[in-house]
Amino acid sequence: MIEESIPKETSSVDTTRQLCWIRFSHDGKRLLGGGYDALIRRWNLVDEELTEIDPIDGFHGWVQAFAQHPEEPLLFAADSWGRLACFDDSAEVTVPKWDLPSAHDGWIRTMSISHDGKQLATAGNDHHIRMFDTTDGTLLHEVEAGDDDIFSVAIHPDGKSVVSGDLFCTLKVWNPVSGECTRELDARKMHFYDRDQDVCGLRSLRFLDEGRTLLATGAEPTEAGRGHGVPVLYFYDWDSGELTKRLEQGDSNDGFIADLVTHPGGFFMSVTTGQPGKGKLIFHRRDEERPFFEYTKMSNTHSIALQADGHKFFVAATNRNSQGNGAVSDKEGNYLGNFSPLHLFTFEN
Amino acid sequence: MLYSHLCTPREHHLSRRQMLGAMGGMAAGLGLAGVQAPTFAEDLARNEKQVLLVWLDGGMSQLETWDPKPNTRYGGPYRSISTSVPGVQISELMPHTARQMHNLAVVRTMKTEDPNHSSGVPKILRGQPKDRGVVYPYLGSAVAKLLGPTSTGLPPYVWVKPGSGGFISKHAGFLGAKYGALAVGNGKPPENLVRPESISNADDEARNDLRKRLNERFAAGRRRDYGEANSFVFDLSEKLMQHADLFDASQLPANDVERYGKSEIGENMLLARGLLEAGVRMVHVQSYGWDTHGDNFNAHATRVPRFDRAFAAMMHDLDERGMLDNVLVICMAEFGRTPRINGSIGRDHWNIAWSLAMGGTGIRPGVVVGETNAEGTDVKSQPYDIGHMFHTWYSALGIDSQRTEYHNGNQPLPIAHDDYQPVRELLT
Repeated sequence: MIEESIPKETSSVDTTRQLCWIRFSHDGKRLLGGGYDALIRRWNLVDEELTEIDPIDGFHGWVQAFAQHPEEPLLFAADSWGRLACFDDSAEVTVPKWDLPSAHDGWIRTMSISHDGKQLATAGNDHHIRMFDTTDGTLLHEVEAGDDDIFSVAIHPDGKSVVSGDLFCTLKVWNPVSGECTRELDARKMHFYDRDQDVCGLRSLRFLDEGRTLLATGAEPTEAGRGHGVPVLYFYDWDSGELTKRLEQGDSNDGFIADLVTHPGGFFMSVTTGQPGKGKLIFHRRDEERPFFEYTKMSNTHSIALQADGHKFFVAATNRNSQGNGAVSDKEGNYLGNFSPLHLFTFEN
Repeated sequence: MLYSHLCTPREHHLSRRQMLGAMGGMAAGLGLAGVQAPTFAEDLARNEKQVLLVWLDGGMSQLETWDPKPNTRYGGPYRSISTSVPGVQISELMPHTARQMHNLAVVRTMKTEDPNHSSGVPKILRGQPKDRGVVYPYLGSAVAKLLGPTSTGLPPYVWVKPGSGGFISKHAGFLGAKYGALAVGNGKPPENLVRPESISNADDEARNDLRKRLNERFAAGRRRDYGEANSFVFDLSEKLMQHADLFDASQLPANDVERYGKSEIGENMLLARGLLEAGVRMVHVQSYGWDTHGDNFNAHATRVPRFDRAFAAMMHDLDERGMLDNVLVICMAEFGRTPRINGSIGRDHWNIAWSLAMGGTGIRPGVVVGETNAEGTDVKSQPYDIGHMFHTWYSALGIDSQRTEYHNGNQPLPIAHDDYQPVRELLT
């Protein structure tokens, strides 16, 4: 029974760059990862061996926002300069199926695909939420969502509303057709202010229980400069808007929940940013106060990619000694950047 | 005047009158060998110079501000934007400053020694001269010493900062405590600045008479500056009392408050504008919290726009009021931030190839000096030390940085690192 087993790290592969996120392709045969170098990197997976193939390029800045179609092999990705594009995630070629070079003005931080796969919501630093037709990128709706950067969006399963989380961790529910904000939910404990800096602890929003529950994940920040924060999950009753449950996944040294997926066995798998050299892989059942599994041998973890059958997953972490003041060079004097080791785990049963 | 770093702070207190008297013939009065005695006109012009230092404590990222490397490995998520100077681009996080670029000069090849806060801050603020066994003054104290108060008699060196205030003598180093910083914390005036209403004019005069008599008694048989020292802080306070309205934020025009921004740095910058207009020689505005080892990019997304709004409003106002002819503006930190992005999505301390900006009197506007390589991992052209900058800033203020000296007792000391010179490209 997978739920009762613990995973085993079976291998680790070094990459050459840092990755914001990783996911398996629709067919499970390829690993995809968006990076801080304007690329989506791709690796074919055969017998637990990763072979890197040509990346998807044409982006700028960071490729941080992404979504996958629930039924088709479509990957939607956006960059920090405003480009949004759709790709066939199983194809060898990297030509987009559709491409919007200026979907937003600047950093697209977040996107969400509707449960039926027909609509895509995107948002970021231009304070707009835009809804696109996933088949061709046609703009369907646009919401002027206030004056603050938007860190996360999620489309409700009924397709009639979109919820956004902003810099101040106010969750706003929008009617995307009328553009009206219909109500607000309070996640402001995920916001922290110190010395002219607002820290947004919110990292993702998603719906559970067919839309009856909204899950907000991230951290309750405890200081501004070093990314300290207590990793948390907030569960809201969608009908009442009330915060019904708050789960902690560590202490203030664990930082933010950078990524979270739900295992077919019903538990959450998350990774935390952590303090220098530290990062956690955490398994947590929703009805239990504490995680039932923690793995702490990786450094500063950022994303988790779970194969559909739930037997295998990768974690994108950070190389050791990624922090350091002044110049860090190799023997030839070349400046050393950081990269994301990909740790492969399998469940023992 | 003789100075000793071994003396007590009290012994170094000096009256406003003495300071004013001294500054008129500062170079000659110091009795320094090799210093040309300026003419009265030159001296007067020099003495009306003022300085604004904007200090971004912890280290602002050059890549998210003055030296963006968009779409490179370490460039981060942000774009660069055009400025009012053709061909010069800065981060998209600074749209207001971009429109003031024609009033600014940027150095992109700062290469300094120390990547640590505790030792780096004093080294940068002292200009890191050669070690001669003395503690050099911070820039503010140095300006207070070299130029003295303006003709207004207001304190020569005011440090506008978040947190607590007070008189911070340690900035003065060997110059002695009187050249320390009068720190204004959280925009509040020094305590007891305003005379209580319960004290009448007659009572106030009586108290002052008593104070003067006690000072005279104390001074009898002591060195002259002993007695006058006791008047120093009182004189400063008395002058500030005439400008108590500067500290009343409710009197500020709403439009100014909006333009500078409702932020810590906005409020402090607006106070600094008032202090400069009132005639304070040297104003140091402090902004804390730039040490973004974690979540650097989200941090700069909220921090830089607040700085940008306040700094650009200041530059605009100084320009509009003709004050850039006299005010030297400097914006810097102890270092920049690493190109490489660490595992906490932060940037660490970077002393190898960082940026600072300046403008105003004596500074050639609209220039960018120095170039870093494509990924910002090193300088590509002439590197500059903070010593170069101190020479440049003193030159901009009309001070011959290579001939003027301090005297620490019998020990002559250069006012800036003797191996460096002013950066001519930065000077008008």
